[in-house]
Amino acid sequence: MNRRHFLGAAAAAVTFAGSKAVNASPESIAVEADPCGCSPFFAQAIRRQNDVDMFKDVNTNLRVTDMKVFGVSLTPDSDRPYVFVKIETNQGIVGWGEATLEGKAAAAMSCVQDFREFIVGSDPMQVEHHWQSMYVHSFYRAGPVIGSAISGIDQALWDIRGKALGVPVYQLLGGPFEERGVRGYYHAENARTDEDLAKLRETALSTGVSCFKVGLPDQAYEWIETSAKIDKAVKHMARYREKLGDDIDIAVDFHAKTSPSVASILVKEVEPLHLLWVEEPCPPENVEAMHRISRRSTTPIATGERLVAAFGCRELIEKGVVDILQTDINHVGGITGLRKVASMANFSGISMAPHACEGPIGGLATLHVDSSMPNFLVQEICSFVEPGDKENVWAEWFGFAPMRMVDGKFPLPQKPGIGFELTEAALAKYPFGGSKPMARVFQTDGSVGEW
Amino acid sequence: MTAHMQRRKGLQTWMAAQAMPGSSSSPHAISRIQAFASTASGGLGSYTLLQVETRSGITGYGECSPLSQTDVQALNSLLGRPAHSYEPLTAMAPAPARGGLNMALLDIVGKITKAPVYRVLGGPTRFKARAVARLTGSTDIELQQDMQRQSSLGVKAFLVPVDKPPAPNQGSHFVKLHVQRLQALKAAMPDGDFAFEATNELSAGDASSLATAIESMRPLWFDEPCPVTNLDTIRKVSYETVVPLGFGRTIEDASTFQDLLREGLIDLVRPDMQVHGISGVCRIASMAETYYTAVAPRHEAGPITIAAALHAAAAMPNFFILQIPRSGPGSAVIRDGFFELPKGPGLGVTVDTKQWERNRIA
Repeated sequence: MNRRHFLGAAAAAVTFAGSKAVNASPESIAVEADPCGCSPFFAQAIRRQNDVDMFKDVNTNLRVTDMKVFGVSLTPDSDRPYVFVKIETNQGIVGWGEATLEGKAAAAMSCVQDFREFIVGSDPMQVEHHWQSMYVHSFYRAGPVIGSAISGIDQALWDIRGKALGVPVYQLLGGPFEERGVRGYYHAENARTDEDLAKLRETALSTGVSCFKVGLPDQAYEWIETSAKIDKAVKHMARYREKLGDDIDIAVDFHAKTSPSVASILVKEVEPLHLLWVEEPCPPENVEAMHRISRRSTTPIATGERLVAAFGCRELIEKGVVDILQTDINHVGGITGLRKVASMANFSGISMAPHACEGPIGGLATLHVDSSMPNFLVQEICSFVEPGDKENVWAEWFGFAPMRMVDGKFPLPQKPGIGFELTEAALAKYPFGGSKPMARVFQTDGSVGEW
Repeated sequence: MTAHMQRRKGLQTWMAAQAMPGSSSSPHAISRIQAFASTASGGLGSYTLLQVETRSGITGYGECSPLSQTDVQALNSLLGRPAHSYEPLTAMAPAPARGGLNMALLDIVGKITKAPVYRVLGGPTRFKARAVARLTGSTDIELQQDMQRQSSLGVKAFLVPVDKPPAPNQGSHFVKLHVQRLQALKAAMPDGDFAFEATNELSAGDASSLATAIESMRPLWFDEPCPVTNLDTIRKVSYETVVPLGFGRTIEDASTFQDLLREGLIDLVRPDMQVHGISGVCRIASMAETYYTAVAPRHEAGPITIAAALHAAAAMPNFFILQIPRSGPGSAVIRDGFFELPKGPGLGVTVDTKQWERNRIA
């Protein structure tokens, strides 16, 4: 017997013994997986379990009968169509969630349907179990596409759970910490002139809004920057502090446009402004690179909108790299994912300022989680909560006005589940226009820049 | 170099040799390698010109560190091997020849494929490359005059020399002298940007003092502020100031860049073209990319090296800046402060080796 035969036989014997153990369970039926073609001498020994209801003695009679996904383009060429997930049950309860993934709508929609077999036929109440199965059994763990798909399904399951149990989701999560609602903030970039900023301050003071966020003045930043662009950025930030006053919190979103080298200079120079935070001072994959920025300045650092699951935030938290985490309920893994990140961050004294810059379903869902976090700081919500020509989607879809802050806080939804009813017919006016790329930014020499 | 680093380096060469047949039936097998010493012998900027020919009649050129006769003999062990295998052949070459051999082999691959080297390597990632001019002069006035002269190329970025310190540890006078130098240059060209170049000669303490003193003037970066010997000495500079730091002049082992990146001690990776070659610099750039760190290839030789550096710049995503050679841009074209990319095929530089004949290394 040559060497290859020997190794093959030994490996097969070990795996075969393992699969026998699976077969020994009366509760499960093992079926052959499709052969993958890399094992020429012996039959494929990998097995998968069939859909045996191992939970039949402990589950409810509620069953998922269908799962649908909708791409919703508010304008035909929208670069961020909403992706909504609808889960139907045998008892008439319907749950909705949001799986919007900017620039990758079709991929997220397709991935939601990849999870169909995980969800249809199951008891929607065991959300933690389904979350684990979707995450772990995806094998590759989660990137943004899988993370967004899981987020949409998870929210829809929580919506069903709340409706089945007759309470708003925040009560299932043990909230609220604050009865009056969830502190929010608005973007202030469109306030350009001194008069605009004066008006913004006036409005903020009279309505109780206590926080604004702005961006950097230039579209792209290079790896190392000129003194002129650094000067412009510092003055830009200083002007907001000067015009909005010390009693309004200001956060600045670098949007990972800056390298650690450039960000280190900027966050150090703006220390005297006492910003609420600087956000995404560099891209998120390299935690130590971000750490280099945060440990050289007193300016608080926030990041997290691109991160998936508590696994994706673990290193940032345990090394104390950031002061604030901003995971997004539509990418991080839904209500389950966001809650876990917040819990772990709290152990390290890190606050939560969740991002929810997609559609209104995620915007409503995040309020429930926020209100149950001991370490909640402030919430970012887009989805036309401010007056504008697209705010009417709230009335069209949900039958109520866009949620608006009252005394600087978003009131908690009080209906069972996430807190709204929605029909497929209401979405029909906004058919899916296809995926569109997000902004693509290039440097002076044509090379790729961060947006 | 630690024992495990030495072992790792040895293994790379050994594995490359194992991967290669002694001779090849490839039409592009190497048929001849010639080496010529540059006329500027001995000092900074001296190099050896390599001419590599294939059976198919293609000739590639590279510039490497000065070679001895023994080095040239060792290079001849590559005869008969396929010229397009630039990775294993570069690793098998004697150390001083590697960068230049890599250029010559990629020049050949470009000529085989009738493409500029940056296209062979997956570029272009940009359509032009930012230039930085090195200022020379023994007084601040001379430096300012040189800046005015070089700014006619549209260049707005300048490397400013830091004086060689008369003793290892300097005080207030040294710091003030250089702050004034930078202030004077900045006053003479308010939209100019400046990088200090200290050529490794400051102690970490002095480097940190100087960096801290110029931090508010926002220099582009501080090049070679101190020697790369003990990483913890650099940590002092990197923790005490946010002035971006550039290193590379003395780094021969690419893993030293990895150490600097991992420890967060470097903002501009400056691998030398003669040491690492085109593909070696691009590999280092790939690693730096994961730390969101830029690369400014260093080159001290002739017209082939500047072309090679431009091809590397147009093949990597994270290139930042390239210095104009001491002798001027030569055949490279600079417009509005940016180098134009060389056209190719190959490196796109022609060499008349007749005038090199008397400098042949045999």
